Amino acid sequence: MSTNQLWETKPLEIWDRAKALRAYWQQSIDDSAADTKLLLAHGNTGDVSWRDYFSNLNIIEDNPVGAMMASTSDEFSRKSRLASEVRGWGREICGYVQNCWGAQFLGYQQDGSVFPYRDLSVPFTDPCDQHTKRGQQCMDLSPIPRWGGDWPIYLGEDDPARDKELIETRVWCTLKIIADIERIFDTEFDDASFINDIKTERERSDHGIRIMNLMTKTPSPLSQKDLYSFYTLGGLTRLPPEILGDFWQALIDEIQWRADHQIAAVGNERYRYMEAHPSPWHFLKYMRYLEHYGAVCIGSQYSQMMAGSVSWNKETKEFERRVIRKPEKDVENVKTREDAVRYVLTEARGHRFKDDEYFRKNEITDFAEGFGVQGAILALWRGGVGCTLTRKEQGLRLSKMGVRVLHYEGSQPGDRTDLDEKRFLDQIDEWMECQGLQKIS
Amino acid sequence: MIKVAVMRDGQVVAKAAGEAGCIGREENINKLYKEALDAAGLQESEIEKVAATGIGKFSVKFAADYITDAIAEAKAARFFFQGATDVVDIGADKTHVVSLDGDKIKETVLNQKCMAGLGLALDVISHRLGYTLDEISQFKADAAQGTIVNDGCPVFAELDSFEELNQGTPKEQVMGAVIQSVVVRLNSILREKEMPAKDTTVLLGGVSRNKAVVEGLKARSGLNFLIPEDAVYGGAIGCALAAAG
Amino acid sequence: MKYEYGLWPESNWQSGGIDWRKAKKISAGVDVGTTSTQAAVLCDGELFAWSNIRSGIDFGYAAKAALEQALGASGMKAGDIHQIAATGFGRKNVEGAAQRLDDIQCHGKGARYLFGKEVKTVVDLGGQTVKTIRLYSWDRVADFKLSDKCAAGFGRSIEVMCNVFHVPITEIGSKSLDVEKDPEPSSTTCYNFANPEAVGLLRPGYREKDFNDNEILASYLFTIAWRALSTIGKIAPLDIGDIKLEEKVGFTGGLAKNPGITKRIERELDITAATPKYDPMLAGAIGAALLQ
Repeated sequence: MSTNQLWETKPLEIWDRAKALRAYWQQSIDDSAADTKLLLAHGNTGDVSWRDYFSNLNIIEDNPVGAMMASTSDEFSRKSRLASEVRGWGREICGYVQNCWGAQFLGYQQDGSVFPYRDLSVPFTDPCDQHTKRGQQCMDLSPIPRWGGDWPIYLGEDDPARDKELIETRVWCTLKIIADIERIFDTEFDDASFINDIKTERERSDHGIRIMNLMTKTPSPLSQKDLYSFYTLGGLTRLPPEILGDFWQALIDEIQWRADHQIAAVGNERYRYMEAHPSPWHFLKYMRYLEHYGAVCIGSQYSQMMAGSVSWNKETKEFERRVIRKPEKDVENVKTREDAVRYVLTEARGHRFKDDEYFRKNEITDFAEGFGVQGAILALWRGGVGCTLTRKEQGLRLSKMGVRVLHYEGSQPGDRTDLDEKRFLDQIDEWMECQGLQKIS
Repeated sequence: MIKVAVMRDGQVVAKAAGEAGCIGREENINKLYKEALDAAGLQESEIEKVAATGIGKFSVKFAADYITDAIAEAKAARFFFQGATDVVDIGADKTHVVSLDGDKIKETVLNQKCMAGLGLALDVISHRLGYTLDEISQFKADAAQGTIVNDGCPVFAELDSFEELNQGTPKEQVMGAVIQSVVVRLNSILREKEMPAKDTTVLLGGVSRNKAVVEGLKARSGLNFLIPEDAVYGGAIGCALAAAG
Repeated sequence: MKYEYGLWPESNWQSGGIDWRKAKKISAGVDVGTTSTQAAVLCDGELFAWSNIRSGIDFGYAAKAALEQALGASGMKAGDIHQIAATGFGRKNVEGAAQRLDDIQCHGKGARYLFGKEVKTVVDLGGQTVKTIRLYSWDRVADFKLSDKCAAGFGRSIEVMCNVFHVPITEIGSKSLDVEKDPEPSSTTCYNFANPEAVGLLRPGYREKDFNDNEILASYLFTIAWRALSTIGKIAPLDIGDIKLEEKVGFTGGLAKNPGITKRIERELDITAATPKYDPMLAGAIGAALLQ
């Protein structure tokens, strides 16, 4: 243990297991590309799992593909982005999306195999920025059907009547999408399973929130660096229970053990900072760099999203889940497809942290307080206009509560050329030194 | 630009400024350093400590210490004006706003990557329009006479300038419009977080020598900048003070 | 800032072999761009004289000066020219022009003159814009594309950076090619990002090995070249697959003389730059003259 190290540290034992699980992701893409099922682009409406109830449907999401491309080949990513740009897709589009659909326009994947062209597209549209264009690129190529679900935004005070109407809109959209897919592709939505799953669904797992609370300890047993890997694992692999096994419980157990024994994620932890949603592309590099100052990234709205909407309880000193809306009917009364859709759509609006009256104002400051951070690094992007505006706003809230905020111009996700790395390093150094910190390792 | 400042017992005894010329800038740095020492009749061995700051600080290979910009600027501001609460440093490649809280640095603001408003953009465009920096410094506030060029991007500002000339707008007006666009941009950077204090904000950096920009910025922002004579050497002086400990 | 490094050499040329007094038709074209101005004088369709100078800020004056310098000591005066046509950004300021013609058609015609019939696609790499033109028949324009306003500043960017770097503009291209492997481009969004970032490349970064001087120039010029690719690509038939142009493409404009740009475009698009008969910056002026 060096003299600068304040805490004992050791690598997570569960890494190997995590890596083995992640290998399934590429496998799932290869399988999807090879089989005869229809391929859905995006498909993330958050509430209805298309893949589970249309037996002839598979999904390949664009963001993970774009991320994978960017992390394995600069050259191929660049070539793909160019292919997309040449067809009129501007630099206002997220880099992940440019990467993935650029490869579509090229017609081949990185390994030379044929691009798995999509058959339909159900993107989740976010009205604030480039998300509104999601799903258009595959529609550009050939006239595949594309539906945009409505994700209304409302910035006023809590209005249950309005929310009810917004939910009705979303119910109608969802029902239409299901009916259209049935008609166009001559297939059937498995209503019976859908309704049954609602009735037998267990309590939403509390893994996310338990991990969050463990990370509030000092030293933190887990840093954002690690958590981000696990977070993407969950979304990416969608593994069947027999393969996933007790992975999440094992992870929590290990983190708990580390917390109990004060095993730190970063041995010289003496400064805690957080970031916002989503994580910037090159986070691994700058988080490692900041560890030279003994600074650890603890909280992030992005990965902590797996805990759902949370708030900080000042008395119990714990994060708690917020229940935003209870379903209108009891699960016992869910009889038809419409009942079922209305039941799962408890969220009236899109990303709650953009407009929810509590979330938007308080979540970032709750995080800051709960995780005990001294600083925050908030990235500004060209493509994510809505997120960027939010981060400016969040920066002001955090500054008011005494958190030292660093805004920097981050790269488009998946586009490494977009970050002025040297400038960023200067900014980080200055941010640390202005708070009286020097490098200690 | 490279700026060198040599200090002894809290006094500036030598200073020099010269072009950096990025490729091969190490050579220029070494040369300028020697020049500054020679002018003051000093030997290298007499210098107890050398520190460097600025975008090119790591090219000063003989520096014992590298001082982050904000800290150098803060020290310089207090050196020039003891009661300084804010520092604004407008240079070729950056605009920096630093707010102080006692001896501590409370907040810093850096311009976004875009070159708009910066010294380099002003230099380049005015040269393209056929003016020297000294000449445009004399421009009056109403020089633009209503002509407007883009204030968000120097590329667009220059394009707009060509278009204006193409239409027959007198070049003095076009230049006046460019100066105005620089002022607008700088003003918006000042406001990024908290507006610096009205009467205790120090202005440093090369652009502080440009009277037209400074007067325009004062008028637009409402700040009565405190501008030391050695404003250009602010970073170097602050850096020397930091080296002295 | 010293401005000598960004000054590309002005030039002019007069044909020794043409007796202009015997010519039946003498026409001239003047192409006034934002950065450079060219004049070309034809005697019965043959190139007799030309010049290439900086535009300055008085476009009318630039046109006059260009014509004078082109004529040089040949004995011909402006008054001997039967018809003058103007093209380019500043064309409306050219005194004595019988016609003011658009860039694209002049360029198409002029490019044909410079490259002969082997070239179907012409790429004009200018000071502020990239233009691509597809030709059919001899010199007719099938299609053309211009770069976005936001990709503005190409050649201009390099002029500026040569002064920042203290590298002569006539050498920056070849220096940038003298590298083991081309590094990744820096920010390809806008030259305002690329320029400060290029300066920043001198600072040590995350990587163990930092760029040497030539690699910094390489990264920077790769960025500028990259910006041109999307405009060039748009002119190609956009079937699924890589961007496919014919093997030989005609580069014109100031950057056609910068191997740091042209070699990289060639490499990325798998094409070869055709060799022009005369200075590639003359396409617009020659075309305007031919149209008289």
